[in-house]
Amino acid sequence: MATTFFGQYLLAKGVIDREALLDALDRQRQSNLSLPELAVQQGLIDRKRADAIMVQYRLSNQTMESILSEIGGLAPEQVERLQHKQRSSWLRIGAALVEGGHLSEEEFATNFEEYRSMESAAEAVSTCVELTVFHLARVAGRPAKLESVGLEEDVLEDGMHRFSQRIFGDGDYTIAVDLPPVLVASVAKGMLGFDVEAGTETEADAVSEVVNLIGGNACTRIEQFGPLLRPEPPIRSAADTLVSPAGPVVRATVVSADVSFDVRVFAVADEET
Amino acid sequence: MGETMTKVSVMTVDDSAAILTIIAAYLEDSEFSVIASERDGRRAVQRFEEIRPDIVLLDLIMPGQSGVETLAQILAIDPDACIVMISSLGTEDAIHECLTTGARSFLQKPFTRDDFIVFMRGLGKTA
Repeated sequence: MATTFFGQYLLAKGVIDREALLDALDRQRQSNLSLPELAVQQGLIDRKRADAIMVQYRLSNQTMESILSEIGGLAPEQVERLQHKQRSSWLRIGAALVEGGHLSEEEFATNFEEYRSMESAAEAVSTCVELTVFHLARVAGRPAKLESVGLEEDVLEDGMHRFSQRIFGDGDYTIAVDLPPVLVASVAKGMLGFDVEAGTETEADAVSEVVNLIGGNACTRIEQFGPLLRPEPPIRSAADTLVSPAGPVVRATVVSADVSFDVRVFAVADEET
Repeated sequence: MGETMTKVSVMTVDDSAAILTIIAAYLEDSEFSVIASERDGRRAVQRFEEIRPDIVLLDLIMPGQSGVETLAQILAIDPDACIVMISSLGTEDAIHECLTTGARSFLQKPFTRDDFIVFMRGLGKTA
């Protein structure tokens, strides 16, 4: 999942218009100086040397710190002081919008909170997809790679079997895996270590346990960036009993050798939890 | 292992039949013997009282009575019971809850057979 820049988020939401964003970006450009520019401003190096440092930085794999030392002749303490100055005076996009009168302090605070929450949810969804692909490939002993990811209305395609698990707490997500019979068989066999008769409870139970493993591991991983979630026991659905949460769902199509399967993650909005 | 050697008795509790099968397979030909398997917490408590296994391997997330409730009820019967919680959920919160309730240890899934046997031996239970 791509991370959305806060300015883009505000633009997409209609909180600011294009001109406001361009003005804020311009304010950032004027305010946020690079380390060589700061060094010029403080009289540590001249403009010509600052330009040479920027050229070297663009053309090489060296860090800015080492170039400032090598070409600029700055001591490590001087570089550290410049970095501190840069960090403490850095104008962020939200502050630039407030400074330009495009956003009130209150609007900024409210929208930033929503943005942080959305980013956290995006990371949670991404974690669920990644762990699902990893564990299914591991258990089935087949390679698997993501083919596409998108937002779609939920459907269970003909011939697919859905196994799902809800994880909830600081957020509410349902991880669903739609597998063709051949993969159901591979996953069940990989899990149990022996062939299982197709369509039996044993087969369904083995695949459900893999989904349970994914859900539990997802909660553990997601906890590392904040939200605390707990899994519910996994469930198996058929097309005629399928109940999907309202709204779009993230659908990741995964290719495994000659077949494909879907991972779907439903993220219920906060106000619905 | 010789037929006459006494093994460490184990009761497994998990709503997933797959996990019960896997654990039984992992413990085959080892010094541990699964003497009972239950898929429900309430039933596991009754069974524990009857058979008093050396080790209980208990799932954390189960429908109905949870693993932690089951853990507390078994410890009420025998405060020295050696109960290991097993779960795919390894959050600090979950581990803390299990250990403060009285679980001897916590094992996060997935694990390999070798890791599992080493873990079981580390519990220090002998028949």
